[in-house]
Amino acid sequence: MTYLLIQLIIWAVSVLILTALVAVVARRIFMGRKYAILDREKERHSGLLIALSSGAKIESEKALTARPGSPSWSAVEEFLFKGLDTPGREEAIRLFDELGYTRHYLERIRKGNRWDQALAAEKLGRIRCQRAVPHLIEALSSANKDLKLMAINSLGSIGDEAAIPHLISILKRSLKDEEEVSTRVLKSALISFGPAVLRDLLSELDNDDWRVRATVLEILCEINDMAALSEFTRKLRDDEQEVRAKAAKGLGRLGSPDAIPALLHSLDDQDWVVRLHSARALGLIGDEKALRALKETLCDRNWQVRAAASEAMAGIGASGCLELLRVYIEESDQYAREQALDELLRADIYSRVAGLLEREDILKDHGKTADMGIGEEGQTLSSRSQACSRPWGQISSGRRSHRYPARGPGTKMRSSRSANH
Amino acid sequence: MEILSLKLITWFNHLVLAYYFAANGIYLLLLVLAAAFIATHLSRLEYGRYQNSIHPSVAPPVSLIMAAFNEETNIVESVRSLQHLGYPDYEVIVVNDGSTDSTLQRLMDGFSLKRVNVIYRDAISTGRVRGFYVNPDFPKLIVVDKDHGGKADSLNVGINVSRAPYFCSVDADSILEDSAITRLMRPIIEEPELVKATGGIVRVANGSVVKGGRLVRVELPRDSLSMLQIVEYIRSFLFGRAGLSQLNSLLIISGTFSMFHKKTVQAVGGYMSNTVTEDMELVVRLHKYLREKKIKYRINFVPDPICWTEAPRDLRMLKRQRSRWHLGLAESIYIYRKMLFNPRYGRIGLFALPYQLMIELLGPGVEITGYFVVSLSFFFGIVDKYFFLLFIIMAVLIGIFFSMAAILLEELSYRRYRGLKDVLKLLFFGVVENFGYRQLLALWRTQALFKFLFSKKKKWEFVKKSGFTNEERNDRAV
Repeated sequence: MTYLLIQLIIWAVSVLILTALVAVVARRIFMGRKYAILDREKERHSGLLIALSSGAKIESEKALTARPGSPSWSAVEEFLFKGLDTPGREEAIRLFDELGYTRHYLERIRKGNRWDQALAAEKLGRIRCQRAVPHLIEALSSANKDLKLMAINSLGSIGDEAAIPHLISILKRSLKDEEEVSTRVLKSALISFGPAVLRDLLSELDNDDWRVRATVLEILCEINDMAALSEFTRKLRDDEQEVRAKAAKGLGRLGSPDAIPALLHSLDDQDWVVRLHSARALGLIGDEKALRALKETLCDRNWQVRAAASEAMAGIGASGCLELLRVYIEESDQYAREQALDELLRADIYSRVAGLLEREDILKDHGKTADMGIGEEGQTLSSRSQACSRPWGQISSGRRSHRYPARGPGTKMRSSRSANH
Repeated sequence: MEILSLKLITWFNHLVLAYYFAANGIYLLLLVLAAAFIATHLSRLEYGRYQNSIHPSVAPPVSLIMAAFNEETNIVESVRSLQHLGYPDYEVIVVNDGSTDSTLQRLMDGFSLKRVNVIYRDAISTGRVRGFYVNPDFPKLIVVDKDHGGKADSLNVGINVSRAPYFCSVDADSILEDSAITRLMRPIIEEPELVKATGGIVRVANGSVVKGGRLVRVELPRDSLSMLQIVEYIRSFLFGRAGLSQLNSLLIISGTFSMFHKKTVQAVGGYMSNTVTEDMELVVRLHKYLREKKIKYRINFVPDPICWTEAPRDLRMLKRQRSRWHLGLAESIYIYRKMLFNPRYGRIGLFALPYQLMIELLGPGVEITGYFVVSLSFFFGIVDKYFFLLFIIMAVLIGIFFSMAAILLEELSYRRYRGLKDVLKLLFFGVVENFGYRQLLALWRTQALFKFLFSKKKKWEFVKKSGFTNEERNDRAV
C-alpha cells in the first residue's frame, strides 16, 4: 500500500514538474512574442505621442482604431495616457472618446470582473471624464471594494460637484465603521474639490459624531480657505479635544492674525495636543504678540508642547530667537533653558553667540555656565526636576500647574551635547 | 535489545514518512494560497498607480531607519539611493551603531554633514547617543551616532528620533526601488486602522548592475552559490510568506525592509535588544499584544520585488547567516512558547507558531535524522532497496517541484530576469539545489538548533558583505 502510494506520488509530482517546466518556458516564449508585437505597435504609433506633445490636432483617427485588447489598442492607449501630461491633453481626451476607449471603460465598469471594473474606474478618473460621473456615483454603492475605492478617487480627480454629497455621506458611514473604505482616500478626494466643497463640509461641523467634526476640520485645513476662519475659531471651544486640536491646526494653516486671541486662550487648554497645535499655529502666524505666551509655554508640563513652543518662537523670527536667548540666559527653569538652547542650536544661533556669552560673562552674571544642567549623562527627568526651584505659584492652567511629572514611564531626556563635555 | 532497536527504527521510519507528508501537504496549501494571493495582487497592481494622484497630505509621513555597523563599503551609496524614493513625505534616519571602521566619516564626507546638538528623548530606552549630524542641503537626512549596542538598539534610537507615524527599517546593504515605500504603504493607505505592519519582498542583487546606489539592470550572477540563493529567496518569499500572509499568520517580515505603525511598536516597547533576530521577535510580540488587547489588525506581505540585497558569497558567511536565522527562530518560539497551541491567540497560537516550530524549526533536524535512519534501515535490511530508492526519489522530486512552482510563480508575476536563458538557468538551479545545497542548509540549521539547546554562547554572528561595486556588475568570485 505504502509502495503504491509513493509510486503514485512520484508519478504525480513528475507530471507536475514537467507541467511547471513547460509552463515556464512556454510562458516566457509567449510573453516574449507578445511584448515584441507590442513594441512593434508602439513603434508604429510613436508619432501619436510626438503629435500630442506638440499640441497638434490628430487627423488620421482611422489609423488609430483597433480592437479592444489588441496590441494596437494597448499601444495607442498608452500614448494617449502619456499625452494627458502634454500640451495635447484636450486632444488626447477627445481621442479617448472618438476611438471608443471611454465607451469601453464605461462598459467594463458594468460588465467586467472586479479588477476590470476598478481599473476602468481608475482610467476614467485619469481622463477626468465628466460622462462617467453618474456611473462612478453608482459604483459608490457597489459591493466591490476596489471599484468603490477607485470610484472615490476618480470622482475627486474629475471634480464634479454632484459627487460631493455622496462622498460626504460615505465618509460619515466609514467613520462610524458602517462602511469599509479608506478614509484617507475619501479625504483626498474631498480635498481635490477645493473651496467648492466648503458649503457641504461646514454644515457637518455640528454633527453629533466628533469623528465627523474632526475629519471635516482636517479636510478644511488642507483646503485652507479663509471662509472657514470663523468656524475654526468656533471649534476651538468644542467639547472634544481632537476637534479643538484640528481647529488650532487649521488656524495655523490660515495664518490669520485674527485668530491669535483664541489661540492664546487655547495655550491653556487642558489637553496637551490642543496646546501643542495652538503653539504651532501661533508660530505659523508669526506675530510677535504671541511671544510672551509662548515663552511661558516653554515651561509646559509636556515636552512636546515645550518643543512646539520653542519652534514657534524661532519661527516668529529674530525677536523670537532673542527671547529664546533670554530664556537661556535668565531662566532658572532647566527645562525651559534646555528647550531654548535646543532651538537655538537647531537654528544655528547658539554657536554664533556662545563665544560672546562666555567672553562677556553674561551667563556667569546670571549664575550659570554655558553647559550648566544641560543634559548631564544618565540624569533622569524626575531627579533633575527636584533641582528646579523657581516658584511659579499655583496657576490652574494645564500649561503651568504640573510642570514636570507628566511623561511616559521611564522616559529619559538627554542632550547629545553631554557626550562631548 | 536488537528487536527493540529494529522496532524503534521502524517506528521512526513511519514517523518520518508521516511528518514528510504532513509538511509537504502544508507547503502545498501555502503554494495554492500564495498563487491566489499573487494573482489578486497582480490584478490590483495596475490601478495601484492611483496612489500617485492622492493628496500628499493624506499619505502618512514615513521614517526610514537604517542601522549601520561597520558598513563603510556600502553606506554612502545606500543612503544616496534613499534620497530619490517616490513618496511625498519621508525622512531618512541613519543610526551609526558605534562602527569601528569609517562608516560615520564616510557619511560626513559623502553628505557634508555638520554636527548639531539636539535633545534626545528615549521614549524607548536605548544606549548612549553621541551626536546628531545634518546638512540643510539634505533636509530628509539625519545621522545619529551612538555607542555600539546592536541592531535592535539602533533601530530603537531611530524610532525615538523619528517624527513620523510610520517607520521602515532598511538594511544598509539593501537597495530600494523608487516606488518601494509607495508600494509598501498601499495596504496602510487603504486600511489605515487595520494594517499595523507590512513587509516587502527581498531579492538577491548579486550579479545585477548597481549604479549610484540604484539597481539599473537585473542580471543573474555567475557564481553558483548566489544562483542557489536566488532560487531559494524566490521560493521562500513568493510562496512561503505570500501564503502565510493570506492567512494573516505572518511571523517573519524581513528586517531588511519592513514598515511598522510606530505607536503600536512603541506600545510593545520597541525592538528587544538581546535577541538574535529582532525582526521576528518584534512581529510575534506585536501579534501577542494585538491579540491580547483584542485589536483587529493585519500584518501584510507585499509581494512586489522592491528591495534588493547582497547575499553571502562564500559558504562560511552563508553558514553564519543561516545559523543566525535559525537561532533567532528558535529563540522567538522559545520566548513565546506560552502562545503555542493556545486558543487565546487564535490562528497565531494554533497554526502560525506551531507551523514555525514543527516545520521550520524542527524540519531540518527531522530531515537530517531521516536521511540517517532511513539509510540505517536500508543497511540493516528493515526496508528493502526498492522502497529506499523510491523514498529518496520522491523526496528529491517533491523538492524540485516546489522550486519549479516558485519559479513558475515568478514567471507568471514579475519576470525580473528577462532572457529565456535566465529562466532556464533558474530552472536548472531549481533542480540542482536539491542535491547537496538543501541538505547542507538543513545540517547547518540542525547545528544551530543544537547550539540553541545546549550552548550558552549565542552571540551575534556578523555576516561580512563585500559591497556593491559602482557602475559594474556586482559579481565577485567565491
